[in-house]
Amino acid sequence: MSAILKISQLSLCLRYAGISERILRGISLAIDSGEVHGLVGESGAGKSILGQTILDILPRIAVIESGTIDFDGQNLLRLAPTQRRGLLGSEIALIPQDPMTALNPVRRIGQQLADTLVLHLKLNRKDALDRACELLEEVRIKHPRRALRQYPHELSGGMRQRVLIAIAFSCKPRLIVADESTTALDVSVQRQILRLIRELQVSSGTSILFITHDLGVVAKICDRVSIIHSGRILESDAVKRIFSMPEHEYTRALLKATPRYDHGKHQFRPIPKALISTLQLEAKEYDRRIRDSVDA
Amino acid sequence: MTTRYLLNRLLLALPTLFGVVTVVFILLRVVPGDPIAMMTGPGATPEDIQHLRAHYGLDRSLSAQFVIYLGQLAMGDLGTSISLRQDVGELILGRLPVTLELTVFAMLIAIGCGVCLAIVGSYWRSRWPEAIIDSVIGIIVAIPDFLWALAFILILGVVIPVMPIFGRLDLALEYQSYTEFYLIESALRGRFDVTGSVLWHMILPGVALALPLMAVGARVLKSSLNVEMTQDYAALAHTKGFSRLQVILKEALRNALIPAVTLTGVQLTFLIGGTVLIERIFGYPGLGNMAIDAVINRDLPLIQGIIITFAIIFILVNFLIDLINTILNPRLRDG
Repeated sequence: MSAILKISQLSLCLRYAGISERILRGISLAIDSGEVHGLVGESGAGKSILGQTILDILPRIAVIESGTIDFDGQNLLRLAPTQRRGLLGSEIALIPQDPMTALNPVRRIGQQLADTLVLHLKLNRKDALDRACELLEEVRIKHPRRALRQYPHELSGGMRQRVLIAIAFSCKPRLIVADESTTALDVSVQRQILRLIRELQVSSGTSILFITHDLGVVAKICDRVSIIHSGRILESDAVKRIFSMPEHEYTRALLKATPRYDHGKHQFRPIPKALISTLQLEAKEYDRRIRDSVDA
Repeated sequence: MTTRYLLNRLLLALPTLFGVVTVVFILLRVVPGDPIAMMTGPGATPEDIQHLRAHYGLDRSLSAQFVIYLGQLAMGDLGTSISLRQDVGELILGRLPVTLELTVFAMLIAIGCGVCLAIVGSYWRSRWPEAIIDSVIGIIVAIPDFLWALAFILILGVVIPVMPIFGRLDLALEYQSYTEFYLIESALRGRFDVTGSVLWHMILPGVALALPLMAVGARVLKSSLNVEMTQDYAALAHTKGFSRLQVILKEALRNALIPAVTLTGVQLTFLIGGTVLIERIFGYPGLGNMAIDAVINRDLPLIQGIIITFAIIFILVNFLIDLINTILNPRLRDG
C-alpha cells in the first residue's frame, strides 16, 4: 500500500514575546491509504498541534521550522494558500474534539452541512440540502429532514458529533484528522461513535489520523499506532504488536497506566517520574543538537 | 413564546413611560423660571399675569395640574404651547419627521461604516490596517458629535465652502410637502432636485451625529469578531476550505453582532439625544432645535411633549434591539 500522508522531519515551535518553545521535534510519520493511524500521547505531547499543522489551523504564534508534509505526493507546506484551501474539506477533513463548540450556534445544521457540498462539489443550494439529508441518514440521525432545520443547541452532544462526522465525510476526503473526537462523549455514546467512524471509514476507504490519549480507543479503531512524547515519535507499529510486545519503555509504562478490567492480574501503575524526566532530557538534547548544527 | 416575550416587553414600557412623565412634570416645576414672566412684557399688570396664569391652568395646585395633565395625556392631548400658541401634538408631528430622517440617515452611515471598519480590522488582524483603524477609532471616540459639527462647519463651510451648513433645503427650491418626510416624499414624487438638496444638507449633520456611534460600534464589533475567530467553529469552517474572509462573513459576523448590537444600542440613544445640539448648530428645523427654543421660553407643555416623544423613541429603539437580537440568536428564541 502507498502512503497517502508522509510527514518527514517536521519541527515546529511556538514563539511568543521573544520566547521560543519547540513543540514538535523532527516528527516522521506515514499513513497508508485506507489506514486508521492512532497518535497517542499525554497532554502537551504535541499531538493536537501536529493535527493542526496538517489542517492549516495553527495558532498565529506557531512557526514551522523544518520538514515536509507530503499529501498524495505534494508538499502541503509549499502549496499556495488557495491550492491548500482547495484540498481542505474536499481531500482533507477534520472531526473536531468538542461537539458542543465546533458547530456554529447561529446557523442551521443543514446550512453547515451544505457548506462543503456547495464549495467543493459545486452543488446548488437545494441539491446540497438534499445531499445533506442523505448524509444525516448515513450517520443515523433520526428525522434527518427536521435536523436540517434545527440549530446545534437543539441537538444532544452525541447527535452533534454525528453531524460533525457527516460534515467530515461529506466530500469523501482521502484523509480525516480526528482530533480527540470521542473524548468529550460519555462511554456508551463513545462506543457508538467509534463504530460509526469505523464503518464510514471502511466503506469510503478514507485514511484517518486518530489523535487520542486513550489506548482503549486505539485498540477499538486503529490499524497502526504511533506513540508521541515531548514532540517526538517514540515508536510506531501495528496496534497488535504495540499491545503485545511494546519496544519503547514509555509505551510499556503507558500500557501499564491504562486501567483494564479484562485482565485479572493487571495492576494499574502510574508512569514513573524518572522515565518522564529521561524523555524530557532527551528532548532538550535534541534541541541542543539542532542549535549546534545551526551555529556550526 | 417569542411573540409573548415581545408583547411583555412592550407592556413593560408603559410603567417606564409613566415614570418619565412624572419625573419630567415635577422637575420642570421645581427648576426656576416662569413661563408667564417670559411671555409678558415689562408693562404687564399683576391682573394680566394672574389672568394668563389662570388661562394656562398654572394657578392650581401642583397635584391638580398633574392630574389634569395625565387626563389630557390619556386622551392623546399634549396641551397647547405657551410660546407658540399652537397644539403641542401638531407642533411635534410637524418636526418629528425631520429629526427621524436625519437620525435614520446618521444611523445608516454609522452602522454601514462601523461594520466595514470592523471587518477590515479583523481581516488584517495584528497587521498595519488594524493598527490604523484602532487609532482612527480612538480619535473619533474621544471627540463628541458637536465638536465634529463645529469642525465640519469651519473646514467644509467656511475655509473651503463646498457644503451647505444651514437648514434642510436649498432656499431657492420651492417645495410643498404633505408629510414633512421631505427625503422620502420628494423621491416618491419624482422631485429629485429636492431629494438631492435634502440629502446634500443632511451630510454634515448626519456624519457628525454618526461618527461617535460608528466608532463605538466598530470597536465593539471588531473585538467580538476577533474573539469569534478563535472559536472552534471558526477553525472547523477553515478546514472546510473557507477563506478567511468567508469565515468572517459567513460564520463569525452573525455571532459577533449579538454583543455588538446590544452595546451599540445604548450608544444609539446618545445619537438621538445628540440631535438636539446638532440640529441647533446646523439650523436644522427638527425636534431638537425646537426643544432648545422651548427650554429658553420655559414653554412647559412643549418641553413635556418633546421629552415624552424622545422617551417613546428610546423605548422603541430598545425594543427593536431586543427584536434584532432574538432574530440573530436562535438560542434566545425558546424559553
